[in-house]
Amino acid sequence: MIEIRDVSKRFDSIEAIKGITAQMEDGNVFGLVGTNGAGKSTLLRMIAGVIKPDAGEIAIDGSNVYENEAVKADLFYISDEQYFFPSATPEQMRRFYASIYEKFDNERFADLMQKFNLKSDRRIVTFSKGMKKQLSVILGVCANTKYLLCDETFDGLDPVMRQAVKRLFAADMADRNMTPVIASHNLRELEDICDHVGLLHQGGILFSRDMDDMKLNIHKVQCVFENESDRETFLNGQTVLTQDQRGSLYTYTVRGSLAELEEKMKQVPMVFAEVLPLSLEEIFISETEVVGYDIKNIME
Amino acid sequence: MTSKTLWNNLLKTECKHRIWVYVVSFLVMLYMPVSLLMMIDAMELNGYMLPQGMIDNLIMYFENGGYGGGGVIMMVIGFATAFLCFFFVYSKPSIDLFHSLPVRREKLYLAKYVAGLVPGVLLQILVNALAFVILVVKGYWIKEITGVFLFTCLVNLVGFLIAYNVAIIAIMLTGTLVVGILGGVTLMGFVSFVTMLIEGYSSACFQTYWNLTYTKSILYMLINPVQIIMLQRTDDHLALRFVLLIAESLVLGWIGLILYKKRPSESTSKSLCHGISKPLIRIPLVIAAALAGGVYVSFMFNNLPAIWYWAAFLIIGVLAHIVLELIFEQEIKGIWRHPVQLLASLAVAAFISLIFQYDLFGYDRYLPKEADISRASVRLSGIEGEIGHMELDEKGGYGYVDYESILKDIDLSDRDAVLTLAKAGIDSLDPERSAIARRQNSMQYIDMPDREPLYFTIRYELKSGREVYRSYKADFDGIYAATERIYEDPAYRDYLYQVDDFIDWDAIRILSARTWDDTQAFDNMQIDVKAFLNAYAKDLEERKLSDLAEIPLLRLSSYDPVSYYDLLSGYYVYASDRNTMAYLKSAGFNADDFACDLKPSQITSITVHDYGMYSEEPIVTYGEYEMAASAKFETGGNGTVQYTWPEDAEKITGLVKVMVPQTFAYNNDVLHPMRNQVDLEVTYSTELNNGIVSYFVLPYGEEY
Repeated sequence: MIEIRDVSKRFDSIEAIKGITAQMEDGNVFGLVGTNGAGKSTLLRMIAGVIKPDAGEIAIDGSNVYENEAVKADLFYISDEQYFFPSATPEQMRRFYASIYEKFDNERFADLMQKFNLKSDRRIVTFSKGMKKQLSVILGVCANTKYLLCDETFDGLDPVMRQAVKRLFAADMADRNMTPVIASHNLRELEDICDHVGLLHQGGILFSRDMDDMKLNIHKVQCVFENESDRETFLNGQTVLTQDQRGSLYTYTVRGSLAELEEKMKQVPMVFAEVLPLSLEEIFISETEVVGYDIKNIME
Repeated sequence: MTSKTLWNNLLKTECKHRIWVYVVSFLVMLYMPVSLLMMIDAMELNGYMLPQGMIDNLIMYFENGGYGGGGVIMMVIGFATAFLCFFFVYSKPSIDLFHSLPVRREKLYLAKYVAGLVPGVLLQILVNALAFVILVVKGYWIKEITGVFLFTCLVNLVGFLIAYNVAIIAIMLTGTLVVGILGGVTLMGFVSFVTMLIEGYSSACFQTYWNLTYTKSILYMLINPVQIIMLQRTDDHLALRFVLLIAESLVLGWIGLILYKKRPSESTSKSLCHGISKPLIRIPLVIAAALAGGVYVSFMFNNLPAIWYWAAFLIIGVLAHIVLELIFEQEIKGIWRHPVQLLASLAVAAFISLIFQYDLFGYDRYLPKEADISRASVRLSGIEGEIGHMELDEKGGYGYVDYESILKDIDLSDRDAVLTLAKAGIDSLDPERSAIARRQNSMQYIDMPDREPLYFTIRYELKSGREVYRSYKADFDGIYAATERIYEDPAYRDYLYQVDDFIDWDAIRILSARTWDDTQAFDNMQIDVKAFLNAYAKDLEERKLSDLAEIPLLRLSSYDPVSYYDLLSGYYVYASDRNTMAYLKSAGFNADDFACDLKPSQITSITVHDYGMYSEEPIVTYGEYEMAASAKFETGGNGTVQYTWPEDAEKITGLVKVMVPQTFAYNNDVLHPMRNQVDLEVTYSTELNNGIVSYFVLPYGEEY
C-alpha cells in the first residue's frame, strides 16, 4: 500500500503540493486527475522517490521510499517524457532494465514487443511518440514490479493501443496483484480503468474516492413535481450535491443508494421522474462543487 | 539482486555508453606521444645538435607543463569527461530514470564517477606507455629522462584528476549545462584571476612592491587548480605536492558526492541548485569584476584621469551583476532583484581599491622590529648587478638561480644595516600617493638631474614564518655606510662572487679578457687559468665598495661548450685588484696596456648626442615631453653637436680627460654616475687603422 501523509513540496515561491494525505490500496488502479500544474507529476515523482518531500512522508508497504533501494525495487516509474539512452534500441534498454530489476521478464518483453509490433533492434529515436509510450509501458510491465507509476502514459496513444495497454494492466493486476498509479489530466482516460480516483487541484487533493462508491452512491434524477410541497418532501432527507431548474424540470445530483432514491420517488407524486446515468466527469463536477470548487471550466 | 551486482551492472552500462568518450579522449591524448615522436625526428634531422643537447631539449620538453601541452590537454579532457558522465543531472527525463531506479545515490554517483575516472587514467597510462616505447626505440630512455618523464606523467594525471573533480562539483551546484561550464571555469581559474588582480593593483599602487615570480606555495597550488600545469620538477616538496594533489582530488570527489546527495532532483533547468549559493558566487565575482574593470582601463593609457578608472569600475561591476542575475534568475526582470547586494559588492570593491590606492594598511611603510626577524637579506641591484648567481646541478650543468632563491639563501648578520636601508627606502617614498590611474610612469622622459638612486630588494623571514619582500630605491649618498656594511658582509660577498665555486667545479677552461675597445687582452692560451682565477678570487674577497668607483680595466668572459653559459659574465678587473695585477705582470702583461690611452691628437671628431630633455618642472605627461623636446629643438638644434680636430682641439682635449668608455661606464654607475642621456661618438685613428668609431659617455657634472 502507498501511504501519503501530509506531504508538501515547494518549488521556490510555488507551493506545488500542499499537505496531501492519501492511500493507494494494493491491487487497485489509482487515478490521479488534475489540470496541468495541479501537482500530479510532482506527487508521482515523490512516490517514485525521485524528489524528496519538504514535509510529510511517503511510505510504500510501510517504508519511506526516498533513497530506499528495497522499496524502489518494487516500483517502476514511467515518466511523462521517458528517457532512453542516446541511440539506444529497445533491446539495449531491456538489457539495462534487466540488469537493474531482478524480476525483469525477458520472454514477456519479447512477446509484447511482437504483439505491439515494435522492433527490438530499431533505434528508439526513430520511434513515434506513441511507440515510445508503448515501449515504456512494455518495459514497465516486464520489470514485474508491484507498483507501476505512470505519468500521462496514455497521452499520445491511439484508442486501440490505449485499450491494449489497459488490458495489459488488467492482466497483470489479475495475475500478480500489480498496482498501477496513473496520473492524467484527462478524466475520460481513467474512467474505465481506475478503481480509485484522487483529484488534485492547485497542489491540494480535493477528494479521493473509490469509483464504485462514487458511481453507486451518486445519482442524477430529473423530475417535474406536481407542487412545491411535493418537491420539499422529495428533498427532505436527501443529500443533494447539485441542482438545476429549467422551467418546471428539476435536475438533482444526490448522494445515496439507488434503492433509497427509487423508494423516495415512489413516495412523492411526480408528473415526470427519471434516474439518468452519470459520467465520471459529472460525478467529479458534482463532488467538487460540494467541496466548494467550480471546476467545470477546467475539465476536458 | 545483490547490491554489489546491481552496482556492477550499472558500471558496465555506464562504461558501455561512454565508449565514444574513451575513443575521442584517446585520440586527443594520442597527440602527446605523436608530438614527442615528431620532436625527436625534428631534432635528429637537425644534425648540428649534440646528443646532450637533444637530451636537454627532451628534458625541457617534459618538464614544462606535461609533454606536448599534456597538462592542459588532460585538464580539458578531465573537465569534459566529468560533464559527459554527469550530464544526466541537467535533464529531467534522465533524472527521472536514474533517480527512480532502486539504486542509492552513492552507488549511482560511484558508478558514473568510476566510469569517467578509471578509463581516463588507464588511457593516460596507455599513451604514456606509447611515449615510453618511442623513447626506448629511439634510444632516449636513459636515467636523465626517467625522472622527468615520470614527473610529466604525474602532472598530466593530477591535472586530469583535479579538473575532473572540480567539474563534478560545478555540475552538482548548477542546473544547466551552460551555467555548469561557466561555474567550472570559474572554480578552476578564480584564484588565478584574484592573484592577477592583487598583483596588478600591488604593482600599480605600492611603490615597494616586489612581484614574486615564485609564489607556488603548496597551499596556493591546492586552492588554484590551474596552477597544476605550472608545476616544476625543481619545486620544493615535489612528492608531497603530488600526494596532496591526489588526496585533494579524492576530497573533491567526496565533496561532489555530498553535493550530489544534497542536490534536489528538481534543480534541473534552474541556474543553481541551492539558492544560498547565488550571493556566495555573485558578490565575489562582482567585486573582482569591478576591480578588474577599473585596473584594466587604467592600464590602457598612461596618465588616464581617475574618473575613467571609477567609471570602468562602476560599469563593469554593474554589468557583472546584471549578467550574473540574468544567468541566475533567467529573466530580464530579475536583474535588479538584489540592489543591496550590488551596492554592498561595489562598496567592498571600492574599499579594496582604496586600500591599495592609499595604502591604508601601510604596505609601503612596513618595517619589522629587529627582534622579529629570523633571517634578512638584501640584493643591491645597482652594485655588481650584472653578475648572476649560478648553481651546479646533479648532471654537472649550470643554471641561473632566480632572484628570490638568492634572497632566500643569503642571511645577513648585520640586521641593523638592512633596516637602515629599509628606513632610507621608506623615507624616499613619493609622499604624494595618487589615484591608480595617475600613477607616475613618465620617468622615461626625464634626464635624471642627479646621480642614480640605489635600487635594492630586501627579504625578511620573520620568526612567525612569514616571508616579506620589499623593493626600494634611495639616495645612495645617504646609505653609503649601510651599503658598504652589506657589501662587505661575508654572507653577501660569498653569494655575490662565485669564482671560488667555479674553481672548485673546474668550470672555467676557456677564458678571455677584453679591454675598453673590446680588444682581447689575453685568453686562456696565454695564462695559467687556475693561477689567474686564484689571484682574482683573492681580490674579490678583499674588494672594498670604494674600489667599485673606479672604471674597470678588463671585462672577463668564459665559455662552456656544453651549457654555453658565460660564467664570468659581469666580472671586471680593476686596477686596484693587486693580486690579479701581480699575476698578470708575472705572466708578462702590463696593466697600463689595458687602460684607455686615447690621445686627443688621434681623434678626428667627437659627435655628442644628447637625448635628454631638460625642464624646470618635472615632465609628467607625453604632451609636456613633446613641448620640452620642441623647445630644445628651437634653442639647441636636434641635440647633436660635433667637434672636429684641430678646429675644436681644446674642447676635444677637455672631453678626452673625462670621458669614459661606454663598455665600462654603466657597471656600478651608482658609484660613478654617468650622464645616461649623452653619448659621445668618437672617431679616431691608430697606427694601423683610420676612422675607428668608439662610444664614450660623460660622468655626471661634466659638460660638453
